[in-house]
Amino acid sequence: MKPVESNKTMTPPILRVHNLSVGYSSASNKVTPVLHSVSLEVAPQSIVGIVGESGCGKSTFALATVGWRAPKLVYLGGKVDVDGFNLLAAKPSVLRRYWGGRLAYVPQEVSTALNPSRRLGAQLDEPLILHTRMSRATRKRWILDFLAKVHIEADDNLLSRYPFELSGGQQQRVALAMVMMCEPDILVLDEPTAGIDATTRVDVIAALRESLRGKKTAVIYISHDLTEIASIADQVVVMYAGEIVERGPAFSVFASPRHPYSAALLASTPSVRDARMVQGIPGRPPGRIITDRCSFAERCSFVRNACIEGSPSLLPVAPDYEVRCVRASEIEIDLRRFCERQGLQQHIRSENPPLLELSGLNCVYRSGGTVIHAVKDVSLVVGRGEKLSIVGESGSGKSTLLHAIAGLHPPSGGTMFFQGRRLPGWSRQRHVDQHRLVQLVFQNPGRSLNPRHTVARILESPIRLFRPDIPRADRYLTASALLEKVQLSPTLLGRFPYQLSGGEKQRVALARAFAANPKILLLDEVVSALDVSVQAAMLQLVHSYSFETGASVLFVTHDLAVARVISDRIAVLQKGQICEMADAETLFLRPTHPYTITLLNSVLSRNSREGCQDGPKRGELT
Amino acid sequence: MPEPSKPYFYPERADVDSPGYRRSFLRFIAQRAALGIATLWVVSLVTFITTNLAGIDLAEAALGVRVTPEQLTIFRKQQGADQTPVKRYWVWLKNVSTGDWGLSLVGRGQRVSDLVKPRIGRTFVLALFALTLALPLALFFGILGARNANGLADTILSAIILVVSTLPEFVVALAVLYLLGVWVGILPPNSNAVSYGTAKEQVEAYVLPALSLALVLVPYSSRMIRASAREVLASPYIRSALLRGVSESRLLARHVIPNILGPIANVVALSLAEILVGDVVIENVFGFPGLGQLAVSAVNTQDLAVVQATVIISASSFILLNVAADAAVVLLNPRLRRLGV
Amino acid sequence: MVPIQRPTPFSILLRVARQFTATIQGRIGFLLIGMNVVIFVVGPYLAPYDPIETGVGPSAEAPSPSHLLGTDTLGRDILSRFLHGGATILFVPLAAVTLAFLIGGALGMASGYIGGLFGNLVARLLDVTLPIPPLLVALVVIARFGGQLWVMVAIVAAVYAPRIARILRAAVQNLTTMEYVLAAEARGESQTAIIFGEIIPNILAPLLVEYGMRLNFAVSFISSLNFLGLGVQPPSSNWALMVSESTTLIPTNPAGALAPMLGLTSLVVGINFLMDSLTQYLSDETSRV
Repeated sequence: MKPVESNKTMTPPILRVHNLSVGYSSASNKVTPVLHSVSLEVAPQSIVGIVGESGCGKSTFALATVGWRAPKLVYLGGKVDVDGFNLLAAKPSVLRRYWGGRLAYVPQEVSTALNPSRRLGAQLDEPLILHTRMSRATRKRWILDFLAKVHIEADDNLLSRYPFELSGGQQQRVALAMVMMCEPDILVLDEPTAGIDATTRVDVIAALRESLRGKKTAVIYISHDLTEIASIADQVVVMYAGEIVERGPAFSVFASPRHPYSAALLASTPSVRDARMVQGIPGRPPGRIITDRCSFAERCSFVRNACIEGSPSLLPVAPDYEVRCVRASEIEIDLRRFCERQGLQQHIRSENPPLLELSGLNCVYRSGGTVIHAVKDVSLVVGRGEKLSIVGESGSGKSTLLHAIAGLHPPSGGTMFFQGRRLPGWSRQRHVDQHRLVQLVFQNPGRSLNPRHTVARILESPIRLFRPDIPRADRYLTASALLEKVQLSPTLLGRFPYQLSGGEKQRVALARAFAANPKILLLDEVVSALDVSVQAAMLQLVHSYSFETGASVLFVTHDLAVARVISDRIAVLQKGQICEMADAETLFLRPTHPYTITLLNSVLSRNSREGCQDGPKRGELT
Repeated sequence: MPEPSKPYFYPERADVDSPGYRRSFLRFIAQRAALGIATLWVVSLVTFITTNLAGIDLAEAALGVRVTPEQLTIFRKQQGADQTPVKRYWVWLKNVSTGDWGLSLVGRGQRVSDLVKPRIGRTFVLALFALTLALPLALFFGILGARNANGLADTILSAIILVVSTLPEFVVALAVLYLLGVWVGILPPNSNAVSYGTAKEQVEAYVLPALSLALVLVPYSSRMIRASAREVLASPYIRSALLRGVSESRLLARHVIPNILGPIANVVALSLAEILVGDVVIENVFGFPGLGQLAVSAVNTQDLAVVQATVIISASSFILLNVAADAAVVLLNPRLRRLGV
Repeated sequence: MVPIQRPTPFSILLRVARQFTATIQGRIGFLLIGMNVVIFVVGPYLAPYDPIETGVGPSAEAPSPSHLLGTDTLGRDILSRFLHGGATILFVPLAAVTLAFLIGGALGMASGYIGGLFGNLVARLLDVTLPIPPLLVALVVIARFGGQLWVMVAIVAAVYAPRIARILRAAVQNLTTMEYVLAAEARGESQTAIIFGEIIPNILAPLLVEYGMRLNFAVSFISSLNFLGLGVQPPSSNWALMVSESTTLIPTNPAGALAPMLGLTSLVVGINFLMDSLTQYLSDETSRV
């Protein structure tokens, strides 16, 4: 805390966002506001993390801070000052001198900044040509120096390559170098690691730290991932429905949030250090600006009359700490208790009688003349009522394994037994009970629900197939009961999938699986596309279903923290092979396989940031 | 929602970079060419069967009704009509591929190749002329439309393009003919001067048919260019480039054009192919003495040897240009060129 | 519980109608096609003269009370010819495209869903036949068999069937990897239930768009053949044929000369607008998904 403070008093902020309001104009020329009166100051050498669920206005804020102009983006008021120069009032020709020079912007998934049809040398050279007066030779030396900083040994050969001729991680680092090349005063990063594998993500963040070392750059870092923000930022801004609801020093916000929304976000974020269950936030973000009451009131568990009588303002609760909540001071202790996780996991050991046994399973893909071994010699046993997670990066074969169990990808070798009976490889050869008791839920609910069917029809098909006891006329009622089971309103029955949010769709998909009363749920990355609050609610649903019915769960995920929360045992899959399988506790405390250790190391943890309190210099951390 | 939520995690996919998965550039072209040859073979087969075997008597058609049986037999022998179909096809194919199309039945002993040759040249020049008119227009409209997508200019342009693209070619050609050829009257409405007129008359005779062809082409090609330019302009690297301070003109030249070169070349090749086949109608509207006009008159007079020749020539150039179009896309895209298709 | 209405056939019909007329373009298109269909159906009964009888009036006369659109060079009444000559413009292509869809549709869906050797065989066949330009096929076939209506229908059906098969094959292949189809397979639905319950509802709309586009191409294509004198032979009345017959009348009788061209144009523009409107609606819908 101290060093940050002293920095602040010494140097005035370089970026001042004052009462910024932004909207989008729609086809009918109506302007929908998405940001409402946002003010923020960023000092040189500080990193401000901005966090919130999707639809809260984060990305719009990122674009507005660099003065981005787009046909549909409407600036409704306020200003963005860089050293007293208002970007929003500037002419495009003037802005162009700022962009890429003093102001740098990093888009979602850093490497998308690279033009696929231009050689790296030309791309890296461009910002220097535009913003500096360096000679050709100096520029080249500068580029090589910068690439070395992000751990890329560059030579002429590398500079003459196209982006796709680098590995994924290298692309990210080169793109980062390109942005940092002109040593910007202000750096805005909008979800730079979205869509990147965990191990690569660590790489990107390390490269970012490396290139910020010793610089005076002021950074705005936007992410939906609390842990990522916690690991990198020293100031945190929590946004909700287009407004700042909490702003303060990172470690205090994460240790003891003052706004119910921040607390709820924390409570719904799984952590590798904490095996207890996460908690979802009911409802969904309003998706618009609310000015007549607290925008979070509908979903808040601390709501009082005062909350809906007027819109709360952002008030200081401590030095350099502001909260937008009328009850901020009185509920501090309640909030702290709220963040404590409830209910320890019931750990069911693998000694349970086996339900599903796989031995020596092999799966291949054939394309052209080549054979790709997606799953190699996998043997595992899932006990009755057990929750087993399969963790691996993209391409590790974890989805293929689930598809094989579900009968969608017949294995090329090995056997599967379910309830002691052999499970045929082809879905078509299976008995109706085997269809019923093994239920698969897919990763992308947008693709797993037929867009031409209503929710009612989607839920009725498993009822028709698996519940012959329910008469045709009652199927509709059963479907509506199923919706209530996944905490959705029965009014959704008449809707089509495109009329639902991502979280609602995934719940419908889960309800479709529940309809069969399965003995084992095969869940394929079911929460990876969802916001943390929705993800937490999904995990709770799965957990309670398993608890109530004694069903087993096979949970495929790339996210170790999620695996930690949901599972009794964890199997780590690398290139189609299980490299380590152990009880969740054991795996996290005493991993043995080198790959598991790499994966665990790639997890960003809040603690790397908490070290800040011990007082090391900023530069080393950021 | 102004801010679409992006999935944090991408789905698993097959390992496309593994050796053998991608076809190399040359192999891709070889495959396309082989396919083209197969297609051409099918065309030749269809042409041969319909014109030679399907119960028509070439001899009677050629020599008329008042002919003695002896004459018929001699003629058939000359034509090889007494052989087995397979043998006849083989001989026919050999002749055709060496450019020997036989004799025109209507032109009384004129060699088909002599009839066709000057027309190939004229039709080809007409096609190139039309292309040079159409391409700059298509580029201009396409990029303009992409740059202010759904704006006023784009909406108006799109509507016009939609209407023009719908019209049958002869309607477009007749409109051009009457507006410029008759009403304004500065250019000859009939293009037969191409084959005999003075140099000036010859050039003038090309203008209206070329303009009509260009009008038929522009909607299609500008739409293709608009689509690819729009896709590129919406890419994250374009926004990133702008946010690095790249000016509009530099953006177009260094960031957009390199990415749409492939599609442009593709459009050029396909347009040329389309013109070579599609100018049949327009040549007939203007009386342009090209391959298309010859084809139609041959069909009307049942001059089958000439029909065969025009069809096979058009089909070959069409297929060749299609292969070229495929090759252009791959050749001008560094990713496809280096990693394969 | 709130009672929820299940979709009825009528509500589905209403929804489809709304999809077609979602934009102004769609409404214009609907109107243009409607006008044409009225002419096709009612026109022959309203015609004052026999459309092919020559000399009902003086040759190439400008419009007058007895001949509202004037007469052509053979002294036939242009209005009567116009009222009779529309039907073949639409109905021949309609028959041809429908035939193409039946053949190509069955071939494409079967090869896409069944796959295997049969699927590959069909795919190769399509690869080879697709690049053949339709007009060239038409020239060869008409040179041999003449330009009767059934020849036209057969040519268009034969030339378009592979194109439709290709599109359907790709669509079905694409859909069978969709997770909702996999989900249906995993829960053990029958093949027919998967095809009719899961796949067909998703390809109907794009198929309809394709149908409209093909119809448009076919109208233009067959009209062009008729215009070139390769199809319908004189003296029968047909708008495209009338266009080529009456080009000389434009200076003296523009209304009569342009009427068939206008009818033809309004028809193709109408179809195109309607399809464009539907495409736009569909892309809006999918972008919402």
